[in-house]
Amino acid sequence: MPFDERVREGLRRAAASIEPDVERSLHRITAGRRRSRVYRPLMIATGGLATLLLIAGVPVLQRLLSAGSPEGVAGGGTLAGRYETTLRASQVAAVDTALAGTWRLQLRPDGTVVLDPPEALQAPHGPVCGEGGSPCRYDADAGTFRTNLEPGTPGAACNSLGTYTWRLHGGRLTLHTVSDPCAARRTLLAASAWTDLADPRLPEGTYRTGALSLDQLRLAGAAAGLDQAGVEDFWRGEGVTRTVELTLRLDAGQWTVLVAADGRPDVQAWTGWYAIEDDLTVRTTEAATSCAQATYRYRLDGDTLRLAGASHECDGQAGVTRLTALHQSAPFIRQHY
Amino acid sequence: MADAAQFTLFFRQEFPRVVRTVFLITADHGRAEEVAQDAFMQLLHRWDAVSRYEQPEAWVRRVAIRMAARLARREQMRRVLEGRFRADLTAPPPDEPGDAVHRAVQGLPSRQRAAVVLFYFEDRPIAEIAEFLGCTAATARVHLHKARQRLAAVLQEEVDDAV
Repeated sequence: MPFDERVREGLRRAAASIEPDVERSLHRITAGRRRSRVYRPLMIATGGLATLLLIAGVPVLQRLLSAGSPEGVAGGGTLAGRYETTLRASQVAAVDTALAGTWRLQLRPDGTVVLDPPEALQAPHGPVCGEGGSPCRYDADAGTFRTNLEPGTPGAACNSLGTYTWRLHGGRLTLHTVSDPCAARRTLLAASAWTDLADPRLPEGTYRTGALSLDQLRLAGAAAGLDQAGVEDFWRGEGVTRTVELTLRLDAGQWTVLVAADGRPDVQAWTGWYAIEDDLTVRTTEAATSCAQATYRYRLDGDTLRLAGASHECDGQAGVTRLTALHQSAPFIRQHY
Repeated sequence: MADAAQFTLFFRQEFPRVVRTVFLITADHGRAEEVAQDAFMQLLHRWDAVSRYEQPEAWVRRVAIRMAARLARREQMRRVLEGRFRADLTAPPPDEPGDAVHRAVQGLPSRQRAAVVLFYFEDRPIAEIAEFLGCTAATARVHLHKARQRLAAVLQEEVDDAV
């Protein structure tokens, strides 16, 4: 059997080997009860709160539900950044032991919140907040932090607004509850201080090169030790005939390079994780392409970021060319929006 | 009421197909059903609008496949960070069920796996695969090319470069 047909047939057989439970899934969805299995303990814990809210009356429920909409929290504030906390079993025992573990909280400048739960609570479709339905939001002013963040319990009990006071000092964010009907959120946010994960050596944000011509790209490639013809082949493969503008986005531990060819919209060309190793070196990791890992020497002068490849762990020269061309064609200038 | 009946009919027709595609990407039946449920939940919230589309099934499949690719990618990344990725590449999990092709596909990096499933099982053209994966067509072609080379090596087959 030819190779392609063998792969097709193998996938068909594998797909046919499972039998989806259609009726049970339909029931869950139409009942609005789709939940990851791993959230079940947390749901049970918050179920009681939902009941209390219902007992408290429709007006209260309506007010809380409206607070859960994006209008409920205006958005943004002075706390934008990434934070991490670790909850011990003893701190969460009164609510749900499933909350124990390390949580990461990303407060974005646009007022949205992304929450990464501990490994054991990972949802099958990404962070608990920020995907599907209304995004979770926060607002922070001089003394007050408000959020409709749902810590893995979308539904009535935590579909509400929590209000806290905050203090950011010495790289630690401390929240104290003013009012919050959601026990899981109270525990998550206020049981322990959050460590600020921002690294001033290479600040998160967006860095751009400005438009570069093919000639500039070829010369930059040669200066970085690449063959000019190989560089040109690479860029033409990316759809570049005249110019390209490169964008480097550092966000929540993710390193993404975008390419805008010939004035067209940005297209993602490379993405992976990064870790700052020391004052000079940053390491990037990517599973899906031929280069599993690369390290760069970085230098940030004001807003100008220069990268130079220190080592590439690639399967072949094509990967090295790709990474070098994407990162070393020109300095990146940090953007301030 | 008619809308609810229409959705139910649509769900019963399309849900199994979506789960099967997602299963090939995530390699986990339970998670595949959860991802598909999430996609159909999103569809239900937008049913008034999406049901008027020419191909509402394409909408929900797209949502589910993107979720599956993200999930597979996150799993892959977790394994990389735990230093297990290299071992996975050379040795597919020994206790996984299924035939050699399925095991070989499961041993691919997440993006290559998604590209293979979209190309061979979904019969998607390169441009659509690129859109699903959030990359350029050239990059999608590279993913598929590398995946085929790797599969051919694992399956001890000869493969040409044509995609």
